Amino acid sequence: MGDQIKCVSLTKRFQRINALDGLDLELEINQTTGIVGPNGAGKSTLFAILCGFISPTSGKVHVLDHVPDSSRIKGKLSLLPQDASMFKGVDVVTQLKHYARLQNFNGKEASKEVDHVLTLVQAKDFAKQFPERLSFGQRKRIMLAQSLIGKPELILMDEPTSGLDPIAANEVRKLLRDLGNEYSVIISSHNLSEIEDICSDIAILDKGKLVTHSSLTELKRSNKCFSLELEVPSHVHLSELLNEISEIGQIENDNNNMKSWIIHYETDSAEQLQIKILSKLGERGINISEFKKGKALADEISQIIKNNN
Amino acid sequence: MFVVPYFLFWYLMFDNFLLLAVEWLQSTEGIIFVSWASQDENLASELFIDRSASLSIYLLISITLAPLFILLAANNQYSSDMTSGAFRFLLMRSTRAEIYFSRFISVSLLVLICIFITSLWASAQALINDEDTIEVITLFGLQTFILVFIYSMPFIAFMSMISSFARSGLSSLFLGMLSYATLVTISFQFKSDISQAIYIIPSGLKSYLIDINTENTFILVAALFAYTLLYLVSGWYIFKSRDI
Repeated sequence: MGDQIKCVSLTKRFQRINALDGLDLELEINQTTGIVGPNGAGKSTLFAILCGFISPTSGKVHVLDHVPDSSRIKGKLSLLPQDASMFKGVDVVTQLKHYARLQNFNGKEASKEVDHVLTLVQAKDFAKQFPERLSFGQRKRIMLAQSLIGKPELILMDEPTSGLDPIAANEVRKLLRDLGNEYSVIISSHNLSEIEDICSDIAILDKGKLVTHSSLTELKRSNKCFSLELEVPSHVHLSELLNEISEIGQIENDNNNMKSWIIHYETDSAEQLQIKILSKLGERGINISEFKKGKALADEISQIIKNNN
Repeated sequence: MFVVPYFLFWYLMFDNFLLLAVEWLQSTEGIIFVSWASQDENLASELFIDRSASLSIYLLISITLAPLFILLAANNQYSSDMTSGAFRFLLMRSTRAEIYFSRFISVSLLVLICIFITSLWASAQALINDEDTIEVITLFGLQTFILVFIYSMPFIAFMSMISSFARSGLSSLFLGMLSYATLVTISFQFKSDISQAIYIIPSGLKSYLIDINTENTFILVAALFAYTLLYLVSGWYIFKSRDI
């Protein structure tokens, strides 16, 4: 199978604003991809074009090897929209069954499929109500359920946990992680820990352009640094202590709290250096609560966007 | 917004005014009045003496009020569902053409059912009030039903077009009324200079509808079909390119 999504010089202009500015992007199947970027980066516009809700001003776009809004991809591509409402005055189950019927399920199969997706998202208890009577979190689950009907080849999720309380957000995140094994999912989110948690691939957009697209592991590996969470006694100067190791470059105290540190290095054998640092810190009795390669994703992305500008 | 006012109106008409109107229109004053209003003496007598007066009144009122009732029935075919994003769920599973034309068909079916019920009701009233035979009333009732429905179609399509770019049901209703009123004004304004000006809206064909004549029927149906097609296709181009 070819690319899931292919955008070539994709531009979308809203009056004087270029929401997408010559975007070139290729995304493939069988992985959960995160699309991140600051507000106005063009993420939601990209989703709207991919789903055929809006037409691009110029450029080419292919989804599942067809143009958006092609009848050939109907039912194969689904969306969890950020802010759309379902039809008012019709209970959720009836609407979901109707969607299933549109995806060529017969009456019995449609009921079965709706029951299955409602069970998946744990929304059976409130599915007989009208959408307007549901809470925001319940509506989000219902929208997630509709996006799973008929096991689509690709699901686009626009801010899947935005507006949810932390408990509900965690439950949805867990669900997304599980779904990632079964479905091809593309998530647009501001929540980078969510992206880090769920996605294996990441595309960063800024000002309607693609800044970078790589696997999450590669993205983190590309930055030669360690992120550490540790407690340094007041009499110990971490910089002086670690400067004895020649491969170490700059040492930054992240957030100025004397707990989070970023250690830059100039060697390809990061594992050996990690051992050296650990033993050095151990000698001084410094407690390490976290030691990981690369920066936090948020720092990494801000740095990439900053460099791009 | 449509079903309740529509049936309430016809209930009041059939229950209170129809018999009185039939008696009055069959009187000499009534015939003189309709002859003056339609500027056609033969038409007045054909409608209220030769044919079932109850059904003729029903036909006249239906045709006169069709634009208003259709504005109510068809104003929100797409507007609010497009603005709320509800169409997004449909668009993932069906094409824009399917959504656009299925909404038009469903509104047409609703109007068809409502007109059928009131036509049946009017025929029943005609059986009670008028002296015509059941066969004559049935035939004229059926003819009336078909005419009223065919005359309603261009207005449904007109509202499909308006609803394709309006942002809400109310704005669509307002825009529909405004556009229709503007077209009526233009047609009246220019009809003395250009006689064809009355045909910029389907209401220009009203007189042909009332004056049921087999020679005109085909042209009438073709003209109403052309209006319907024109509005429907214009609406489709707007709907096709609109952001959902």
